[in-house]
Amino acid sequence: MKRSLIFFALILSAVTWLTTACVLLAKPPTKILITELSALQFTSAMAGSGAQSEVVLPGDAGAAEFNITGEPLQTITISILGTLELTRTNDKIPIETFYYGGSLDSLGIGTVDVGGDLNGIKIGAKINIPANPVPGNYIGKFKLRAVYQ
Amino acid sequence: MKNTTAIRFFLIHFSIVLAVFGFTHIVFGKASFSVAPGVIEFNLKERKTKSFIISNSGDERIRLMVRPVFFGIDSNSLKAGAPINLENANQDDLTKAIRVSPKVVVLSPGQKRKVRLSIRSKKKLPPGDYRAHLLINILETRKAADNATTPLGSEEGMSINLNIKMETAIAIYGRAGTPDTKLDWRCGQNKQGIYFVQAINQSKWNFRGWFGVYSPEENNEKLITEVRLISLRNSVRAIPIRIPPMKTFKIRWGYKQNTHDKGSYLCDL
Repeated sequence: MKRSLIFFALILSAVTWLTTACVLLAKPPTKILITELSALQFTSAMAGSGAQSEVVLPGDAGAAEFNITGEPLQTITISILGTLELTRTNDKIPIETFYYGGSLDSLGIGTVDVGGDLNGIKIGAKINIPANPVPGNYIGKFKLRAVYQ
Repeated sequence: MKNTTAIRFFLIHFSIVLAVFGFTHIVFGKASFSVAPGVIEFNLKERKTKSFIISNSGDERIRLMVRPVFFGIDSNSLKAGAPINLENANQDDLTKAIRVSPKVVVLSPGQKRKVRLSIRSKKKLPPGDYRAHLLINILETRKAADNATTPLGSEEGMSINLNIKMETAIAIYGRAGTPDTKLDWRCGQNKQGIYFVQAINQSKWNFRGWFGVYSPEENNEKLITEVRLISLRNSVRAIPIRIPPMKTFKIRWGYKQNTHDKGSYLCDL
């Protein structure tokens, strides 16, 4: 009786181990996950007396960088939504445009590789700073939208 | 007594299994989520419910909204080309037929939830491909909104804070009937010298596949590059291609990667 119970316990234990291991080792469902690696940064001195534009291209050090984990070989469109301006109470700095690059084409379109990665997404921007801007902290609120095609 | 020993032996083993495999991995980071799969396809002749999984991959409790939306072919969110016939630009809109449950999902860190999706069309749809997207975004909490607007920089200099929120949309495709996709092609070179091909899809069917650019030799074609192509019904789409300078090249296309067996077109610039 004791032997058979130990044998039963061993079998049940082994089955539990195997089942759990299989569930964990099975290929996980493909998913979309966006990870921000670095934020967009405007580096040069901005508070000049005259109006000026500041450009960060996707290839520049200040460009934002993202990685996406997604469904292999599917095409994804990245876009930035929101009011194209940075604000500080009543003061505004307009954003002229965003630039896409890295693993995206200039429209913001990229294809997830066979391993499920679309790494090295780079986003830059061009802002137009008015003459004698009011010092302070300017805030821009945007959405980064990733859409499967 | 003997039985007790055996049961104890089993329980110890089972506890080890749970301790090793049942541990929940918590990711430390900001509010984020993942969705799987990214593309869901329906046969519209069948009444069927499908599902997808949303997971909270961040370290905050989040509320997510799930809603069907239709992105135009040339919309900023899709950028899949341009409609050929503007009057019929939204004829493949499937949003009104989509039922989602639940529409709002609350997830604790590490938690996942299945969301069900079904298509119930009131009228019988004519043959063709239909589509929509399910947009999933985080509903902003009061705390998050306050954090986003709290000044962090000095009042003496200038600083810029960009608050970027992520949202994602999975593609929903519905097919009524048997597809008969036909693609026409145009080729060219823009002012910057970049080659491009245009896929022209005048059919009622989407093409979701690949095309290859080949050297034009009749008996010795060589694949130069392969590009993913999503060509929606009633659309024209220009795709830049990276190839060395050449006057002629051949386009071959197909549904599977490295299998360009559906047709060919000779580009002669």
